[in-house]
Amino acid sequence: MVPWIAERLQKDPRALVNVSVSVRELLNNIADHSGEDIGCIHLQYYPRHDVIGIAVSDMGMGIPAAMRQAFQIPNDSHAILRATERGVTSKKGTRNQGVGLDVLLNDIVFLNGGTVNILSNRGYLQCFKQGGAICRLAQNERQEYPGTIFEMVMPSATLEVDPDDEDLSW
Amino acid sequence: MVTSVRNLVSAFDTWDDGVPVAAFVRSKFANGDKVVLSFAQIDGVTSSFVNAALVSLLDSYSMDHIRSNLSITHCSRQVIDMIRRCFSAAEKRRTAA
Repeated sequence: MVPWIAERLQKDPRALVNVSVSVRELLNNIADHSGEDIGCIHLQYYPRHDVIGIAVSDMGMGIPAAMRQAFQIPNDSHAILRATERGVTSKKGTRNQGVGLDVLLNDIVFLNGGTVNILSNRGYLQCFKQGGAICRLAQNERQEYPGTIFEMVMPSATLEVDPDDEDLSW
Repeated sequence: MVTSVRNLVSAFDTWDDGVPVAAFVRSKFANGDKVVLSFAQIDGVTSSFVNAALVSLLDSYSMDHIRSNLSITHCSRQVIDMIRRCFSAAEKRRTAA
């Protein structure tokens, strides 16, 4: 995936770290939460707008169904909204800390200026940057999608190489 | 002595990928050794990998012990941010529990 995108965008592959990690996070979520072990990825480059679109989907139980295993959730869009909050996960234990989606939104929306749309069961969440913050718009759909689709659209201009020579200070 | 994470594992995606890293650190801690892990040439890591490789150490050691005996070097900004976020989330959950 990364070499294909790098070639289309004429970028160093190292500039696509956040994109690569975001897709890997979503694939892990499919394995951990969906009840399925198959996911689909769709990539498209829009040269006129110089943006890349990536969709990751599965036909599993859906985020609302997974969240209802652990929380009282009033409706499907609220479930998706809650699932994107830092520290929120339907699973217990060290394996799942509820960090992945929060980081994904931070990297793709806040840092990169892209958009993330999530459709799952009857919930639909749109995330975009406005006023220097991540704006989340949640709505319930009439039709139910049997699974989950994450759609990410990112402008090429903000994708840059991240140097790797820092030490972690606790 | 600095240990490269790339010498311990070849992928940085899943929980299973991170397990050998934690096993290495535990073996060093059991001997009373300090550990220096290098993330050189690792562009990005997932939260699942960090949870297995590092956060799982909290099951056996305190955060103070980890801070005092584990150093992490040659990281990209993505790796540093992910490690910090995962530990922060884990500490909050343990405090709330």
